[in-house]
Amino acid sequence: MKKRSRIFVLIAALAALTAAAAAVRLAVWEGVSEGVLRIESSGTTTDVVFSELELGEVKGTVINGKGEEKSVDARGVSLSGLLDQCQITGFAEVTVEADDAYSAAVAAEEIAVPEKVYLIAQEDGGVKMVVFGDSNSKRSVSNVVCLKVR
Amino acid sequence: MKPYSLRTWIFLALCCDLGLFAKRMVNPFANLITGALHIPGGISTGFSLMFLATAAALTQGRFCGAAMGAVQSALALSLGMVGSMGALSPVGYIAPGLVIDLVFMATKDRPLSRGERVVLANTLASPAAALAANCIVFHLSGVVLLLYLSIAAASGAFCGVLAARLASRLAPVIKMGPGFEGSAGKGVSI
Repeated sequence: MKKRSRIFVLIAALAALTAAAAAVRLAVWEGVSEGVLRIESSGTTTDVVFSELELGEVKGTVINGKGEEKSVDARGVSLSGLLDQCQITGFAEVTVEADDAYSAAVAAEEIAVPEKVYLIAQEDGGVKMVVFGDSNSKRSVSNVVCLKVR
Repeated sequence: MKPYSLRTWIFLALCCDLGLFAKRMVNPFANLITGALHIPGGISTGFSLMFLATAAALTQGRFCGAAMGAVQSALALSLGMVGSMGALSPVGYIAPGLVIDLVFMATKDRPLSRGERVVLANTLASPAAALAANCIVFHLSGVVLLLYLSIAAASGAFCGVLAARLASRLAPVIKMGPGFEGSAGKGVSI
């Protein structure tokens, strides 16, 4: 086989694999509208409109991956408050998942700590989770779409 | 380590910088695609790594890719360009560089042209970088991980072709390594 043909076959095979994986991904992806949170708990799924929740002022400072402090000043709700409003109790962990499949988990003990874990409104209409007190912003999840309660 | 000429060192430094900053330039366009596919990235790394693959192909130095990755990670740390990997970002730079080196070593005596080796190196290095990012930051699984890795490999292969063309163009200018075959005046081929 000529070298150009071999490279073409490699690229074509990878493109086909990517197309197939993308088709499966888009087929199984259950999207929600912007500003809507899907909460999965004990086999039930609930969609919550974030702006319709009882939101309050959220102010604090988070530390990003570079070690720099970044102030937070937005409208939001504590994760414990959100779960209370949805009458969800008796859980061990909540996994917060973003639109791009990035996720972060917070334990029930952390959620119970006052003024630690919040969901805040983004300027572009999405919802973001911030965890105050973390040494980096790994658990800051932008464009949150789903909360999996376990 | 091979005794490189000053020109070669300057070329390597330039490739390090280009690799580091090219990713930033491509990111906005790449994010349009990854956003539509609902995955956290995987495209721009292939473009970034093509400069490492080009340099490794032209210098033919052992562990050139890993060394350049280490330099890139030092630059990224000093400039605060660590992204979400934080202090573990060197892993994300050195791992794909090491894969590039291993591919060039493994294919040294194989009946492959330099262009094919560059394409193969970039094709494998790109998902290696994606895998490192997944282990450190994203923790994806299932179909999402498959898509993330396959799109990284596909973009790596495409950018590998660009890297092979670049290497072919630069070969007569750089002229380094024993038994080096320049292609001045013969046009560009991979």
